[in-house]
Amino acid sequence: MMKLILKDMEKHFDKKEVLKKASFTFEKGKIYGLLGRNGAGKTTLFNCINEDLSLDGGSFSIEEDGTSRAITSQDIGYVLATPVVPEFLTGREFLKFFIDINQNYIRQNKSIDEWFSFMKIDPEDRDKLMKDYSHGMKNKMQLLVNIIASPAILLLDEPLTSFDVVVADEMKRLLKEIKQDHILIFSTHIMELALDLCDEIVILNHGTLQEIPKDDLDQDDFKDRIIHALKEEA
Amino acid sequence: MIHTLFTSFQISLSYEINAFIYRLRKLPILKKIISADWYKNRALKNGITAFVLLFHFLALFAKKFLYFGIMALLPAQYLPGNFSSNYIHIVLIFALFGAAMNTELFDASKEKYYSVVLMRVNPRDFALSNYAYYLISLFVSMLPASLVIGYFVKIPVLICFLIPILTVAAKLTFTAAYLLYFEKTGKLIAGSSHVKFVWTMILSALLFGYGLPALSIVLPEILFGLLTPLFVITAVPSLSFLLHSHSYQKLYKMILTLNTILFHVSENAAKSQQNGMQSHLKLDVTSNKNGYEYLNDIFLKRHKRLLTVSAIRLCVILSVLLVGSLILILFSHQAADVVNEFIMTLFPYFVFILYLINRGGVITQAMFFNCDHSMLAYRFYRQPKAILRLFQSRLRLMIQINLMPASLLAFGLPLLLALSGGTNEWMNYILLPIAIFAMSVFFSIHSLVLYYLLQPYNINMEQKSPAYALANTVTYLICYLFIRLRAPTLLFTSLTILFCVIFSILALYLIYRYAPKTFRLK
Repeated sequence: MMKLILKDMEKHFDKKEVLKKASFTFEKGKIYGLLGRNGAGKTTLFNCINEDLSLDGGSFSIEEDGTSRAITSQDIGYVLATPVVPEFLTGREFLKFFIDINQNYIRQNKSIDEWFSFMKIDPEDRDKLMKDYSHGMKNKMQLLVNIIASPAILLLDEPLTSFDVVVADEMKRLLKEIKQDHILIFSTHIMELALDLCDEIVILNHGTLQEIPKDDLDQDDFKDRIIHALKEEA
Repeated sequence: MIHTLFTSFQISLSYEINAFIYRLRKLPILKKIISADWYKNRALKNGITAFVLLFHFLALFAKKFLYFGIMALLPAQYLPGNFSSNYIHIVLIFALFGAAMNTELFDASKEKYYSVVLMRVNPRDFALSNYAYYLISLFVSMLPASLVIGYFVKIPVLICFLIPILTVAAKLTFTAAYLLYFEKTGKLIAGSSHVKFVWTMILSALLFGYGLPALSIVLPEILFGLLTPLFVITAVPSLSFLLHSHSYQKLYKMILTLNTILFHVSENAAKSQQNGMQSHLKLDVTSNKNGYEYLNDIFLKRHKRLLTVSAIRLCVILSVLLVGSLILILFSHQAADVVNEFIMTLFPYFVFILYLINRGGVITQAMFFNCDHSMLAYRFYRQPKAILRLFQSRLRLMIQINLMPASLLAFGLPLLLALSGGTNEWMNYILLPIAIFAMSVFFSIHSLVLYYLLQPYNINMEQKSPAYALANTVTYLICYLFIRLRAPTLLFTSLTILFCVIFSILALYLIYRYAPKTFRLK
């Protein structure tokens, strides 16, 4: 069983402490919904795990069959809230380039068109420059390359908010489909989305991480419990 | 109205002071000393405000002295004919074209956007109070400069007084005319976003201002005496029209769009420029390479125009200059001697020339805005191996582009040298081109290394690195100082080649060592 273990992670900007000894263990096969209020530090947490920001304290590691090791580049996929893709390439060229340089790590042997179909990208869009893609389409491309690389940990920052209802539904199915092979952490501040998709709800509040157990509460009581936890003063 | 003016001052002052503290906090050592608390420290902010106000006040007057000094006094001295007549001619032409071109009311600015759009200040009050302030401060700051410099040029005191009066009256007249036109047609003629209009005006002003005296034609002094009362007469109804107009809201709606503001905030200018280039992307080119070479190849092919256009332009200019000099030395012994001496003793000049023809800045900017900006968000792209592979192919690209104009020089200079009388030292013919190639390669490496080590942009494509700006300024200054250096070409070229080789090796070592850590979004 693979786990992502965060231990006493600390991060501050000037005097503002964003992460205060945040600790948590994420397991493979589950989708975690990371809930937090605006500015709680969800993106900061992701940036730290992705090593875009350096930690001021604490550590994180992967534990596989009881032995822990440092995280490498190939372990992490990160889908940003605002998708960025090289706009001068077509979707097909971007995928070719991506598959070319990552071929040693890619496990599934699909053709480019198979990947496009997997992501439900229409044939007529595949050879367009990505500068002409819509926001949602760019987001799809970003998600797709991260799925192709098949990293152990997939961090998704507000991924479904830019999709229309039909695509959002497709993406939800897709994430559920791939969850058994990954540790999926999904940040959002839309509670319905989190409840609908995620197996576990984790909240980031006052710099610490805390799991909110569902127990045998019904949906409404569970929502109240989450909101109550988010409102809690430090 | 006074209240509105005061409020708008406060808004732009707050912006300026916060930006000042923000920039201080970005500097290496100061960032440790200055805490974010500075933003709310009243006493401190009052201190900075006083400092900024004093600076503005002095700058206001200094600018006018510089204007009259550099734009009129200096050229008037060098142009043929009578010094003071030339001066009056230039000032008159510039006052008229300046009044037609520089209207303030129609310019888009951050301050206007913040006040009128974001803070919902009444557009009419804002426009009138700011325009009044603009004209009054213009008059007050112009008068001392006009009198002092006029005294040196020995022109009648009356004309010194007429200069600011004419300027203000002409501005009022033109502004009212443009506003009337806007009311009737809904179209704008002037304003900072009308680039073509502005440049036509500037070029015409230069052409008539300096060109006519060069042909020994100057406007008579008496025109000042005629035009000033004329414009004062037209200024009266103009002022009344401006005061009673109700189209300021409509006007601001038109000029204060987010796009024009983005364009006029200098840090975003580059972004708009690059965005403009994107529309030229063509789908019909492709590549049969693989991996990073594939990416780089398509990048180069799709952005060929953007990457090479300025190098090609330079080649044309250099060719014209070279051919021009060739013709000159073939027909004139005197010119041949000058050229020969220039090449033999003033070769250090070429450090600065090669610095100027280096396209590194434009190319790295294009790389960031069109490729790295998005690709750096992907972790695989930041792997040491990836960064170094791409650095290599980009370095090749950069060197190739810079060698286009450099090779013209490398072959042109020895040719000029030979035809202008030659030299006893045959080594010069070999070392000259090698030194030029070496410098060209050096500047290519220099710009790319700076970009990779100090990657100065953030995800919003704003330049965020004072270190990068500093490094560029220092480079400029050093290259500029070479102009003053006098050294025998043989010695200088040898040292240059040696330096370029050592620097390049050192820079490449730094890249391999540090770029994987430094090449990321700010």
